[in-house]
Parts: sequence; C-alpha cells; structure tokens
Amino acid sequence: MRTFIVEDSPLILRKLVSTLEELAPVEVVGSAADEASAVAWLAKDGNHCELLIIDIFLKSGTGLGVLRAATSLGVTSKRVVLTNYATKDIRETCRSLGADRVFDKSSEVEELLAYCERLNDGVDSAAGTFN
Amino acid sequence: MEFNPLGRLRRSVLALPLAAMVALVVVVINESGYNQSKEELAVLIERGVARQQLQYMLRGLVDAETGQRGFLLTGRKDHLEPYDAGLVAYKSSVENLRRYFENDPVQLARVETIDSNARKRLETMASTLESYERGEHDQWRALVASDVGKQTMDALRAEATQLLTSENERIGVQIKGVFDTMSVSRIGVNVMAVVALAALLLFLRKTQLLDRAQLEHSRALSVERDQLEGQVVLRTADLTELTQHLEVAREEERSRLARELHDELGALLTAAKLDAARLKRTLLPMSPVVEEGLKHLNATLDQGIALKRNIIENLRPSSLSNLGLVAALEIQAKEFAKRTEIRVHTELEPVTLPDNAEITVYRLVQESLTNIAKYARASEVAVTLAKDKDRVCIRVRDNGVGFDPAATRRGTHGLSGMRHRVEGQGGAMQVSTVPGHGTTISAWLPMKVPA
Repeated sequence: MRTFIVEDSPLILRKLVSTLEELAPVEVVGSAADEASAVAWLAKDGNHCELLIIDIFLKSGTGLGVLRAATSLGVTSKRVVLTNYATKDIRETCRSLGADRVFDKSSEVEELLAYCERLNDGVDSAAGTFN
Repeated sequence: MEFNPLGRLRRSVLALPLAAMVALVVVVINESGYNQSKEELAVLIERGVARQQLQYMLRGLVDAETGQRGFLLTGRKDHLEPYDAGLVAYKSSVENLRRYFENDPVQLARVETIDSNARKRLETMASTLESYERGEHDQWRALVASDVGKQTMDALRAEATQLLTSENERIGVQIKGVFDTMSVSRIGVNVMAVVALAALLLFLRKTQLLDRAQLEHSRALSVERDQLEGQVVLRTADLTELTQHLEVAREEERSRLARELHDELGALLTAAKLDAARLKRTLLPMSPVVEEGLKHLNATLDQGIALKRNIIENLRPSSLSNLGLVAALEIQAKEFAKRTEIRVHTELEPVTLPDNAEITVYRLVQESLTNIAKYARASEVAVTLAKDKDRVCIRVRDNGVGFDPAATRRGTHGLSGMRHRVEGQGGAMQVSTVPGHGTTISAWLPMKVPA
C-alpha cells in the first residue's frame, strides 16, 4: 500500500516510516513537511497513493489545508489525520474536511497501526469509530 | 546667597527702638521748645504790663497836674477829681513798678529816681493847693510861675524814657530769645525728620535686599524641585519600560519553552510510543513478564506525555495556538464556569491581533477570572471581545463585591503587571470598580496591521 506522509518533525517522520514499513506492508512513496509541497505532490500527475497520513501542524500551512486540497483535487486515497491536539472540535473539523480517521499522535499509535493493517488487508471501508 | 535668619532678627530688633528713639527726641525737642517759648512769652507779656504801668504813672502825674491847674484857674472843685484820681493812679503804678523791678537794681534805681522826682512835684502841687485853700494867692502863683515844676517833670520824663527804652531793649532781647528757641526747635525737628527719613530709607533698602535674597532662595529651591521632578519622571519612565520589557520577555520565554517542549520533547515521546508499539508487535507472542513490562513502559510514556502537555498548556495555551483567540477564550470561559459554578456569558467577535497581543488578551482574561474566583463572590461574569475603531476591546465584567482600587495590597501585582503588558504593546487598560457594585476590567489593543 502506497502511503504519502505529511509531517514536519523529522524524528517522528523517521519513526513513522520505519514502524509502518516494518509492521504493515506499507510503502512510503514520499513525504512533505509543509502544506505547499504536499499539495504540489498531490497535484502532480503520476502521484498515486492509497493512504495519506497528514499531521495538522506543519512547517507552514496546516494539514487542514492539505485535506481541503486533497478533496478539491479529487484524491481517492484514504486520509488519516495525526495530531497532538485531538479534541472533539478538531475531529469534527477534520471529518468535515474529508478525513477518514483522526488519531492522537501520542495516545492512539496502536489504533493507527491497526487501521493501517486493516486497510492493507482490504477490510476497512466500512465504518470505524470516530472517537 | 546664604540665608541668614539671625541677621534679619538683628535688623528688625533694631528698627523699632530706633524709630521710638527718633520719635522721643522729636517730642522732647518740641515740648522743651514749647515750654521755653511759653515762659519767654509770659515774661514778654509782663514786660508789656510794666510798660503800661509806666504809662499809667506818667498819665497819673499829668492828670494831677492838669487837675491842679484847672482848679487853680477856675477855682471849681470838680477839677480836683482828676487830681485825686491822678494821685491814686500814680501811687498804685509806682507800687506795681517797684514790685515788678524788685529783682532788677538798675531799673529799680530808675523807678526810685522817678518816684523821688514825682514826689517833689506832687509835694509842690499839694502845697500850691494848700496855699490856694488858705487864700495865699501870691504864694501859689509864685510856685506855679517857677520853673521847678517843669524841671522836675522833665527829669522825671527823661528818667521814664530811659526806663522805657531799657525795658524795650529787654523786650527785644526776650523776643529774640523766643525766636531762638523756636529756631532751635525748628532745626531740631527738621534734623530729626531727615534722620527719620534716612533711617526709613535704610530700613527699606535692607528689607528690599532681604526680599531679593528670599526670592533667590525660593527660585533656587524651585529649580531644584523641577530638576528632581524631571529625574523622577525619567526614572519612572525607565522603570515602566523595564517592567514592560520584563513582561514581554517572560511571555516570549514561555512561548519558546512551549514550542521546544512541543517540538522536541513531543517528537521524542511520540517516537518512543511508536517504538513501543513496534516492540509489542515484534515480540508477539509475549511472555507475561514481557507483556507486563511493555504495559508499564507504555504507561510511563503516557504519563510523560500527559506531563508534557500539562506543562505546555501552562506555558502557552495550546487552544490559542491551534484554534485562535475566540475559541481559546470560549474554552477558558467554559472551564471556568465548570470549575467555579459561576455563570459566564461570552460575546466574542473575531478580530485580528498580533500574536503577542492575543496572548496578552488571553492572560488578561485568565488573570481577571482568577481574581473573580478568589475575591469577587460573583454569580455572573460577562466576557466581551469586540472591534473598537482601530483597536480591539476586551472586557471582563462581574457582578461581585468590587474592591477599592486605592487599597491595593503590596505584593499583588497581577493587575498592574497586566497594565504594563497592555501599555507596553501600545494599548490601554481601565479598571472600574465600586465596592458593592461589581468590577469591570477593560483593555484596548491595536489591531494587527496587515503586512
């Protein structure tokens, strides 16, 4: 499963990449640290992925902007938002912008990995819980 | 110029006795002059009287002569009236003169000479009359025809004239004396007047110098006071600037710490969590010991993350950074209401403020709510955020007990620190409170200038 990660912290990005590639058969095809370059990648022809993992707080711009762009570009991949600040408001906002899941970076790591596995198994399209 | 209070005392102590002395001298001169003149004039009057007596005396003699002659000529007795009267007049005048000149031997001698001459004449006249009475007409005619009477009278007149002249001289001297006395008085008083004037001028001049010295002194004091005031203003400005700087620096420090914690520590903890998750999957299946260990590891990491979040929240509220000022204030209000069970009503308009102004607004509301919880005993709070021309106005109003703004306790710097922060960012703060009628804290901050 091809995945594109939008995350501005290099440490977290490294860890995410190594964890995902190890535990789930995920191939990270690219990453971006800010909204502009993420949108540019999405817009470029020939760039496909099945999973978009987006951090809300980026070097410039926000993950919400990326979500909007993804929607307007008609991107078909699943969109997952990672955030350190996962309140009800944030979750609802992300959902309304087209996110499929929102995970708290620190407390919902397990859930993120589980979701990735399920996706890969082709199971998930049905409703998961939006907590 | 040094100010010598003792000198002034000396001068003013001198002035009064000096003035009194001048006045006394003038009075003494005047009085003594007056008394002397009075005496001299009294003497003058007497001398006048003496002259008069002399005239009476002479006239008395003349009357007697005339009466005698008349009688001798006509034989009528009524001519003896002037004769008798003249005798009487003569006698009394001579007595008066004698008495008057009793201390003046020269004049007295003259009077005696006159008297002896007069007596001779009177004797002659008397004997003439007697002869007539006796009918000795030849005798009396002979007496009358002789020159003796005339000679006697001439001598008498000469003597009388001398007496008169002498008296006049004395009167002249006396009058001169009066003039002299008056002169002395006049000079004396004039001199004293000049002295008094000079003293007054001196005194005035001294007073003027004194006044000038005082004016200089108070001017110097005034200048010094202005200088000190100027220094005070400068110092206050320095202190105010320093306080504002400290407040700003403090908030910036907090922001920096929050950011570092979030970025660096946050990333580390997230990475650790990821590693733990990897570990869990890699080690499946796990022995109970390993499972327990991993659970602990996760729990510890979770605690660390919670702690980090707490610290960051206290340093810089994440709601502010993530959701914006309006949302952050709403959350703050809700949490406050839940914690204290005081109703909070918010009316928040979206506004554009620079970042440091936003945190100032947040902190102001935070400080106000803290104070309300601690002291106000209010049941309702209203928080409003609105545009006000080119500024943004934040207002926190409560219906509590209010406080006395003048009675701020030492060590409570919350509101004044707030004021410094607001003013340091080009804003203004106002606290209106009346004991018993609630408190309103308002602040205005300039809007963000579009870049």
